Amino acid sequence: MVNNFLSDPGRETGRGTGPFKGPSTGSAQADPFAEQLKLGPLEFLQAAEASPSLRAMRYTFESEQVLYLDLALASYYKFATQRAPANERLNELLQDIIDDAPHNSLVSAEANCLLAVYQADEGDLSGSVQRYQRAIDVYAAVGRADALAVCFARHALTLYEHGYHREADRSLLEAQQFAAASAKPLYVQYCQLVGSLGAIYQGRAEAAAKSARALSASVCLGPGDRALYQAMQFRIAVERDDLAATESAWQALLQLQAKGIPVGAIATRTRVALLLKQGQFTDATDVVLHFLHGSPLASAVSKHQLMLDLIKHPSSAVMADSVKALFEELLKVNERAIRQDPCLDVGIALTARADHHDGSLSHA
Amino acid sequence: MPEILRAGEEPQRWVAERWVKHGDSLSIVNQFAGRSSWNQLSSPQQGLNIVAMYSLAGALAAEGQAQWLDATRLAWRMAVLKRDLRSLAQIATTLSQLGRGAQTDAPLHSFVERSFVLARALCKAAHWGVGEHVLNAVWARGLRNRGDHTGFRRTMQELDKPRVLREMLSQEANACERFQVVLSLVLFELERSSADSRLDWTLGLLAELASDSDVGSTAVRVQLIDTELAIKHRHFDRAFVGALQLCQHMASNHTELGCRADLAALLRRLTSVFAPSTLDKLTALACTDLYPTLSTSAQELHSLARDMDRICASLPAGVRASLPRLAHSDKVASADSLGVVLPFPL
Repeated sequence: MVNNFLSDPGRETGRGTGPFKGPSTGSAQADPFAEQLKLGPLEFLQAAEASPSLRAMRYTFESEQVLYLDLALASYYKFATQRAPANERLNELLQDIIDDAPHNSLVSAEANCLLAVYQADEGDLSGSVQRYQRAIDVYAAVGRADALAVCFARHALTLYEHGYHREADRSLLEAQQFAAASAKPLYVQYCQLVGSLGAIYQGRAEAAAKSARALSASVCLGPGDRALYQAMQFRIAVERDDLAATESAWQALLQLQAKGIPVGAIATRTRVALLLKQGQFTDATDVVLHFLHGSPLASAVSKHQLMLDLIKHPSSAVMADSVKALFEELLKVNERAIRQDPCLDVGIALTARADHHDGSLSHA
Repeated sequence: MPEILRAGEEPQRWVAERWVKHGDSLSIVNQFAGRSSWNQLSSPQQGLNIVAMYSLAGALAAEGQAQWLDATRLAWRMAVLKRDLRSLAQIATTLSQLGRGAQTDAPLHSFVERSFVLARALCKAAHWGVGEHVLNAVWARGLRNRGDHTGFRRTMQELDKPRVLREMLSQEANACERFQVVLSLVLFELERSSADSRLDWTLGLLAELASDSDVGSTAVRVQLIDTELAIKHRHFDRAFVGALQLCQHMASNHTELGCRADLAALLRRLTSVFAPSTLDKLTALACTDLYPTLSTSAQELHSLARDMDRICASLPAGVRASLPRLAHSDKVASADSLGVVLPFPL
């Protein structure tokens, strides 16, 4: 296997089907990113996912346009590939956007929302909640129901993963109401997806399956979210012992992987559990290592759970001492990173109201 | 997966190709570790092929196989008989890479240093620029592994010249040789923290070469660089996971000693940069589990050195005068120093 760390995933060929089909030569192509963000955060993410050469574009854009481009880049790495070149410092990049963008602007709000995801995934839940709250405040102030739906949904997903299920349910409910108010199917589907994933995090496979049924195969989600959807189908099939569905869901994930979209933590954890059940410990180890290496932007919690699954398995006795020592060391470091203050208030709330919006926020 | 010699393939050509074009020591050792199998390398019409023999010697040494001594003696003797300076330079280059880590004992260290000087002199005598660049590139990485960063920088400054890159990218060099030189240039850029654009450029070149060539240890070496890059950018998780993945690979696969030495050095750097509290544990790991061992006694090394010095006497006087001796001059060569028992007549 030749590692592809040197290639920029954003430069893959064959992805030029979106609104931006090649490197920009100036400001003319820069504006669409701002326009996409005006349409909504999920439209913006899909535009980023469809652009073939985000990094190359950065060198040709003017400073105020770079804000949007950097935001697109950070979204793309987080949600589409879970991988960025080692010299990218994405937290700093997002902080720069927040510092440079006008206060209460959409780009600042979305950068806060995205930074919240980054911070939570690195274990800083307290900082993350504050970021989510800032994003919520701005989106509420400008009356964006669709953006509020995404923000609450991402917050819910964060909390599901960290085990705050009750608070997560509350945020998801907010998200669903805002999505309905926005009247955009894409946003409604995104909330359904988060609901299904939440059920999986809570170990309620039947509820996840029921929720997933509401999401048809013709979902209009972007590639990153579609991979989450497929992962969920895979997990449900495994839990039901449905061999045919398991295989077809896994093949669908592999097809996405071939296009540069990682299979993600949920699918990887499911796959590892399957391999361990079949007594294939070495293969399971390889899958875990491939995930850890291939998806450095995946959440610390998911990485931790994966490593625990492996190390705590009785077969881990066959592991080479050197490898086991390194795993244990990494687990220890991870444990410190994701340990939360038990008194942490993880909730966010709508505290500001738009005075000029069209009534779409009135559900609360 | 290691390659195998297929029916109808000429063993001499196969060994030479696996080594010279791919640096694939594992496949060669799997096929030719036993001395009795060396008979296959001797064809009735041509006898032994020098390239095949020094390839076998190089592969055996890279994999730490005890037979490397005999194979080297044999290859050296053949190259001297044919007065083939480039082959001699190749053999000396291999010898300069033995036990490339910090824990090389004194006799081996001395032998390795002499081999390096000899290889350089042979490259110059053969007017072989590419060979000299590859020698310097590999030597520089060994110095870095031993913590001799001044030596590493000094050697790399010799390589970091447009002329060198031009020669390496010319037709004269093969993919394996290009990869070796560019790999060291990437490390040099990483070390000196120069402009990112230059680092990006060399990384891009390395990626291209990695995908163009099928060097046996290419993937491992590229991943080593990936992890070095993570250390440079202080990405703890990436660096640690990279090291973990490499350890797992080396624990479950046969990996050449050079890569193990590189990984051991990388683990030491990783612990010194990120986790002083765990330094002891990881350093111990680097020095035991992974550390390359070359089962060679001082006596064997000295015997080989004397052997090679003696055989060199048959080289043309002009060449001989320019070459340093491998053995310490205060030792007297014994009559039985050519004591290798060959499975076939030369």
